[in-house]
Amino acid sequence: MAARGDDKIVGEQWERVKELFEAALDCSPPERAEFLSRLYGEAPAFAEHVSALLTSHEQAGDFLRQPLSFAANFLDDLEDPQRFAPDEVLCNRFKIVRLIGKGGMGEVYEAFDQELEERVALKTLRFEVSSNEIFTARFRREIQLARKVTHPNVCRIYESLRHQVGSEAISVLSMELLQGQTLGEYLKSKGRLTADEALPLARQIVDGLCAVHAAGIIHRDLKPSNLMLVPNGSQFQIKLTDFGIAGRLPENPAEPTLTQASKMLGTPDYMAPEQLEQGRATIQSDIYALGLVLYEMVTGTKPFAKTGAWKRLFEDPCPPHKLASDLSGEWNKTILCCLERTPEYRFSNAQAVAQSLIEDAPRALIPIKPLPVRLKATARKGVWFILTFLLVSAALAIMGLRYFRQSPQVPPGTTVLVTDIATEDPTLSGITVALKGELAQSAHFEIEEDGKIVEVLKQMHRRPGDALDASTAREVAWRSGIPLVVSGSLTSSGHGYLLSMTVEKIKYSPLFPALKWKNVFSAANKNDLLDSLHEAATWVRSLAGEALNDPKLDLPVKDTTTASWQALQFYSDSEKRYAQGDATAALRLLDQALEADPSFAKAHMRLADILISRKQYGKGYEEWSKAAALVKARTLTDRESLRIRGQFLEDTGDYEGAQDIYGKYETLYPQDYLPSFYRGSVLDSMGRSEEGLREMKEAERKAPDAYPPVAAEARLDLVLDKLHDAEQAIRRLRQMQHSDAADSIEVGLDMLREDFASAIKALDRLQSTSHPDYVSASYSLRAAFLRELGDDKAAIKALMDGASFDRSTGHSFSESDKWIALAYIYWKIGDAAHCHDAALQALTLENGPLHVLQAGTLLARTGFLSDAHKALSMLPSNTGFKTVDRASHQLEGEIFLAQHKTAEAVREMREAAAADCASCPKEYLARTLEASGDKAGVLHYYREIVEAPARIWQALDYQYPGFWSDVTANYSGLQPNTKDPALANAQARKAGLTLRP
Amino acid sequence: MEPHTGEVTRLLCDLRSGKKEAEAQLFSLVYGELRRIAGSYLRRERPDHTLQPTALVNEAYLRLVEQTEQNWENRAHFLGIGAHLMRQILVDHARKRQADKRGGKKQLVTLDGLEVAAPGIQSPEDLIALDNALLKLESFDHRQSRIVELRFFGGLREEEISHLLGVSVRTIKRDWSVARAWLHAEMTK
Repeated sequence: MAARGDDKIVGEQWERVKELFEAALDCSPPERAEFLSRLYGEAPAFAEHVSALLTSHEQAGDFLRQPLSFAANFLDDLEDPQRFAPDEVLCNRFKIVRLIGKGGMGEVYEAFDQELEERVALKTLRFEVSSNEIFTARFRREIQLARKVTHPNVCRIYESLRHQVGSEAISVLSMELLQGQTLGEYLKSKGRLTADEALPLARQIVDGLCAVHAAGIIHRDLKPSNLMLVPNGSQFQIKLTDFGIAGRLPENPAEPTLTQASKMLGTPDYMAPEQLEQGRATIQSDIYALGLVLYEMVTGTKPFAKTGAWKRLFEDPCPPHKLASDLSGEWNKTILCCLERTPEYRFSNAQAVAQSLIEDAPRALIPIKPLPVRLKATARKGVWFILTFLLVSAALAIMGLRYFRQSPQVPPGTTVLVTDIATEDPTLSGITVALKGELAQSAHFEIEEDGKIVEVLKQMHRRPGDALDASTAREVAWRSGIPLVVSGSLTSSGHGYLLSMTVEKIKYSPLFPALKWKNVFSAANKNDLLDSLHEAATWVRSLAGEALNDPKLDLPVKDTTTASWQALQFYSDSEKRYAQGDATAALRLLDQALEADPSFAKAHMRLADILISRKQYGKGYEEWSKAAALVKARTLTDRESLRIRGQFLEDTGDYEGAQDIYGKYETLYPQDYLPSFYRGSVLDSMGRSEEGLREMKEAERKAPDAYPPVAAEARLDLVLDKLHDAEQAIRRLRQMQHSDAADSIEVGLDMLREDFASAIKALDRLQSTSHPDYVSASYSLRAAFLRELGDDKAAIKALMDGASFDRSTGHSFSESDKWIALAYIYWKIGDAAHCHDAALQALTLENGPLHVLQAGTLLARTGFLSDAHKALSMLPSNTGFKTVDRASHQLEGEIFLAQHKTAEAVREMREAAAADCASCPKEYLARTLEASGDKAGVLHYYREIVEAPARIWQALDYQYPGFWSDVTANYSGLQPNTKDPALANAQARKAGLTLRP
Repeated sequence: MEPHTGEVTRLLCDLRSGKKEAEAQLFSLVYGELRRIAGSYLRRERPDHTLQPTALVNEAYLRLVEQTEQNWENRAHFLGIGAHLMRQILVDHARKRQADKRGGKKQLVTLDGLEVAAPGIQSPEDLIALDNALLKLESFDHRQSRIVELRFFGGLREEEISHLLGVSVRTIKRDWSVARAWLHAEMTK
């Protein structure tokens, strides 16, 4: 076909040729000939091509049939040829005898060292490698360390030199020349070894490895082909070779080897999982490799022989005694312990491995920390600590044995329960706070919220303020489905402190002993205790399976909370009092905490949080600003601060800022549903409700058991007119046992569907529920519902009943809301006096910006201007916060309006609207424009509201009762165009808002 | 330099959403890794000493893409890139080999004859010829050339190729047959 060189057939014609070829192939051979001859008749050019292709096809045979798999030898051609010839002299010193083989990064020769008059092995580094600075720096460092190792079981490194070849300089390493075979070859010939045969070899390997580790080197590439067996009489002497990145001796000269820097990483076959995953090589990864070598020695096979190297990340190896039935329990356990997927569970050093093979006693399975250096200095005291460790480990070893292979690792996003750390020293009572602050940084797990713990305690008929001890904690965890419990105790002695931490895995009922992992951290004094706490937290986090490679999530205690024990104590007490319901005491204690450490950012934030929840905005914002200033100096990334910051920005109307923070939050804690949840609501406020809905669904996906995103989704569905979806979401809420939330949203859905009977049922259910917050809301919802349907009297009654209820339960915030609602209704029906009283009543109960604004507005509208001015003066000025600014402008506008200063009123209202959230109704602006005669503007803002009743009705208790109907009435009165579809729809809907008997 | 695992994931995402620049960056990141692994695979003590490109690319994938980000879409894209890179690596070295031979560098150690890697591809010269032929094919049927690359160098199955390229399996099969025939003819000219 291509024989006709100029015959380029492309594009559509080529496609046609392909089709014809396919058709021809589909034919059976006799048909094919016929097909072709027909084709020759019709389109001879095509026929030529097709025919040529068919011929090729037949001749091709197996050509390209299988994917390329290349023989090693083939790739060997990728190597450079041998660099040096026999008798060549390097560095004026080494005379090449012969090439022994090719190592990873160069070649290995036998050479004669003319200075020392000895035969040595000479390793040359390839040029590309030699010229890489980073590489050579590491190489040199390793060499320096390796040279210090003089041990019978380690191949000696003599010299490191550079040899000039023309303009290139290559690195040359001289080492002990070893004659013998590798362990790999030996095993190949022998098959497998008995434990008795293997033990002396194992001990030598261990000794060598210990020597290497002691010099500060990680071998990184321990395997049978790196272990030389040098004959020594009737026995073997093992020599460790090729450690670090010093290169390798080849096992077989004819065998090809590899390219360049891959040697740095070692062969996948013998790599520990964490090495494969993260490239981290530690003593533990050498231990893993050692385990593999031992495995191979006694079973004759590799544990992951059939599968790829990466399987070891997920799977456990087949226990060696299954493959070698005469293998003792010690060997089996030892090998399996070396092969633990989590580095912390393996032996902490090579010597322990050897001991485990010899001794009868089972090894403790707790990762025991090496003694801190400072305590080693005092030998006698050191002994005491060692004894304690041993006692603890012995005791736990017995338990540990039974649950040999369980792991405390939990999947990302799990909730853990942190109990109070028991301590007798009251000045250290803040340690739990500090620990929680540390653990809260984790992106891997979440700490169970205090509120939820309190709920469960109530179910257990315990008092919420009770300290959470270990056994209570286990039960709480079990009831809540929490798999991990972290507990600890702090004891002091003459020598300092001992922080004992325990992590328990709860699987069965609390009656069963839980699986325990324990560790002990010591500190000489209080200052050091904070560091120990940090280590303890790090230990817990890595135990739970966290990778711990993000320094942003690894801040020391000083930054996450404070370095002052006093401050921590006050903070801790404050939390306790708050949990008991005593907010005043909590505030006082926080002030004391801040006296102890004014830069305790978290305390400022907590203070701000509580103050704002009590609507003491002025002081609250102040505290927040202080915290913000502190935070700017250091980037606090703990989850709680991010949450509070974001919420604060949202509360104060800085939606863009809130988005930023939530974005950061989401990046740092990808499993947490809250940032998506918050973002969703912020987007809705910004008028981007579709996006908000998507975020909300994302939140649901991240936390399928959490109800807030589902509730928020339901509301968004209503707003976006996805009534069916809303119904589904509401149903899901009920399934999640949150029928109160479901009922409160259902009222809105029912109103949109004009199913008022169902709405009333929902309201009745809410009113009789056990949760006082929802009962309180039910009154407001009912009042709004009734007023939309035109029954002012009943609405007033509902609000009055609601106010009494709130008074009886001490809900001043909600009570104030009800008075505002009443004031609104009174205004609408023209009862100025009652409106005035209600508004003032509301103000005495709550003086936050929102209430001030609403009360002040109504006072202005009913003509009580001096009172309105008084209200205005209650608003903090120049806060720089959008919500407060809006309130100021809006109220000023109302006052100007009442004074008939229309121009000024419009100006103020426009400022208010600019500071307002995009999706909030701008009825206040509309009213003002109406007064100024700008009919068009009025209609626009009214229409926005009229067209979207769902926006109002999805949260009936957040708006004035009957708001939608009122605005619709206004709109109807003003809209000259009776054909306006929005008008028609609204009027139709309004007509439907009646209670049929 | 070792690529950060998140980087590769991000680039894969960029690639999927159509950012062409991501491709070049990914290539350079993955290239280094593939070469490393290619080499280390050779040290495996397998009696047949053969190497499957898919295994190699799989391993590169595992090492380069974070656990939590591994999904089949990423993997398919990655394999696709791997195939291309494998081809590049092998052909590059084949060409270098040829240059060396022509330059007459001293070879003091003679190696055993090559084992058959694939029928029709017996030597570096053959590999270069295939590459040239593929380049020619690419000039008028890019998809076919890509299919060959994915199948022969990457070891991807037809379903995987179909998904990656967004064409039906039937089209893949057809294009493959045609390409094979065409390449054979081209190489036996």
